[in-house]
Amino acid sequence: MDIAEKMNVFQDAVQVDPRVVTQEHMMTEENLYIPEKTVGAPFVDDPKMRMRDVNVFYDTDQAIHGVSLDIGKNEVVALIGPSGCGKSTFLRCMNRMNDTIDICRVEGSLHLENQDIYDPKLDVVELRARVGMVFQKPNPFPKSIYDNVAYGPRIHGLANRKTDLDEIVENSLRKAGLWDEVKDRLDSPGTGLSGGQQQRLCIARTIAVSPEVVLMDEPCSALDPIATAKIEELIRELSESYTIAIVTHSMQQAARVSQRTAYFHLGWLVEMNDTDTVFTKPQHELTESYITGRFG
Amino acid sequence: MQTGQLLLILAAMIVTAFIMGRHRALQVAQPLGGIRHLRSLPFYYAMRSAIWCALPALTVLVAWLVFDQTLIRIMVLDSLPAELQPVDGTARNLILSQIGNVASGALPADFVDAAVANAAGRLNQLQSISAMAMAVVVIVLAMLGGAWAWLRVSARMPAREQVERVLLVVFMLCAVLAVVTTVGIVFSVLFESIRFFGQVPITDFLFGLNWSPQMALRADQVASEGAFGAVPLFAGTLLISAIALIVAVPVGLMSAIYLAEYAHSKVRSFAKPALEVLAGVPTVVYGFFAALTVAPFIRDVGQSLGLSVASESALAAGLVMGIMLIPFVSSLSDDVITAVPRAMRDASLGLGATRSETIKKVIFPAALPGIMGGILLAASRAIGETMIVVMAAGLAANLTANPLQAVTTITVQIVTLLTGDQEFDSAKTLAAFALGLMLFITTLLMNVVALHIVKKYREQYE
Repeated sequence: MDIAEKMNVFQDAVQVDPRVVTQEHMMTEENLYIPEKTVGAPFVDDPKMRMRDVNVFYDTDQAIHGVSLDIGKNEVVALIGPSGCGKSTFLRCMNRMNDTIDICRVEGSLHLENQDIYDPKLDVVELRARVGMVFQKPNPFPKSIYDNVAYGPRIHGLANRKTDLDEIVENSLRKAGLWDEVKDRLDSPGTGLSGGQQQRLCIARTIAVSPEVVLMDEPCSALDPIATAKIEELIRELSESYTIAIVTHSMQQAARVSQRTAYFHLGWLVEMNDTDTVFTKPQHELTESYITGRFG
Repeated sequence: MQTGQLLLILAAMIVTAFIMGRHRALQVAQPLGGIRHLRSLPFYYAMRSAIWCALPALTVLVAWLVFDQTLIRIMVLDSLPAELQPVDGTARNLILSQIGNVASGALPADFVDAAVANAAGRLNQLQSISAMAMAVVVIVLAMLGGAWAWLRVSARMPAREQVERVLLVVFMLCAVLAVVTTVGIVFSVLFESIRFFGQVPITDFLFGLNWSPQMALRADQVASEGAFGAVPLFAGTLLISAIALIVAVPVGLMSAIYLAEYAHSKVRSFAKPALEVLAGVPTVVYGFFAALTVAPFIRDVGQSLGLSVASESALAAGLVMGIMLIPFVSSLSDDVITAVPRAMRDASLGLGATRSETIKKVIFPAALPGIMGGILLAASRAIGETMIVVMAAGLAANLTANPLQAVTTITVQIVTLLTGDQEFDSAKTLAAFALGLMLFITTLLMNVVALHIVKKYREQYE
């Protein structure tokens, strides 16, 4: 029995037993205990990305409160938590996509290996080439499938000759598991693909620039179960060569694809540990409530 | 009864029909247990009553107004004795206007034939009968229609469907109106142009290099022969429009990109309306700005550089026109650039593209149709603009590519041809219509080409 199944059983049990979901057990925002310190094991040795005391503000509202965590090399880290808990905001700090929002301000130290991500001298273009991103809704450019994948390599000048570019496009589409489906129609528009294919095209487009880290912001939330299964399969394969951070609403998905899981709550990082541990022996009351479905 | 009074009564009846229809629907609904048991909302029953009241009555009213004068005239003419019966159209109009004048009291009755005076009396009589009959018929029709609709209100009647069907026809008629007007204008211009080309060979007009439309209106007048070569006008129009677009398109586009992509929201909320104010300045104001400020300035600068510049120059008119067109390009482009979804920007930026790469490779292609639309609108305005050119570029039809000389445009010549005393069989007057036709064909071709370009290069996002 893998963890996802265990969790299903656990959740079913919770839903069947009416005593568990009673008024006293229902969590409300007022009586929530906000931790001073993250429980579990948020840090690893020799991390790929190291975040310390990260605070994020939208104007005067604080969205992230002193989050510290590491993302190890070639591991898949899942960020879970109820809506509005700041997991997407935190993800977008890691390649400075928050820069595009005028009112957003980030404090703390974020490092990609030894590079300070928020160093004013840093070129965000180079950062975003190293830390790629896949978005919630598939967002292929209204260009051909080929041009979609070739977009990144072209702007970064990764290919000198047409044949090099062809090779990058083919490799990326193969890695994204899309090559066989589209190899005969590379010239047709990327927007004409199905939702799941579009999302895999977006993943191909992201890995075409050979990033070291891939950030995924709820990549399956707009997809049907079969397309979701394909993307999850792809994430597992990609984790062999890339470091991946994925935000997800589905705890089953977190359990299926990730090695470590971070639970966010109202902008605080409550708990972070091996996925196995988080889902079977959560140390914090809030984590337990969330994964057993008492709120979310 | 006056038609105006009749319309007022009709309006009151329609409102009454609406209120009564609504009331009736509510009444029908009450025993059933509320309006949710009706097939349509009470509003639609009310609308249906109003339509039944209005439509037949208004149709008859319009038909009556269109045909009654013709019928009355025929009847009046028939009443004339045989020796007074008109022989041709001119005589017919003459006698009819005589009768009309007597009838309205403008001409004393003893001033004309007794038969004509009689006819005038008959005209008055017929007209008052017609007006009375029309009022009665229209009011009765409105009442019958309203009553019919009122009686037919029932829970199962598909009132909404019927109202929607009528509205559909109304929408269609509105669309047809626009098309019919366009066709009408085209044909009226076309027929006058054909008359013009009967007097001046079409090849002379299209390929002639000399434009000098002054010609003798009377046989004894001393004037030149008149030359109708339109090439200098086309050249002038193109020259000024080109200068205007060279100013407006880059400035407009770049300001749109700045406002949409780089400007802080505070700057944007102030700068965009300010820019749009430019579009509201009357062209005549631009005109004297061009003639009194820009043209002398260009002349002075030209003189200091040793160039000979006319005090009215294509450059002055084109520059000012370009400034006038900036808001057309920038405002429309800004709207379409902002409409490109954020997901597109995020995708591009997330791949490590710079802002300018994102604008060039993603946003610009996606916004192209709208941008082209803005440029096209600006170009049509440039070609059709008259006032600035009249004031700043002059009337001299010089065939030149030198922007420092005075030129004239098609629209300016149309204005000068059609102001003052006119004679509609003279080539001079008719030339205006031929020029109008050419102008129309030019803009039409431009539209077709632009649509083609847009179709070929657009990148459609979802």
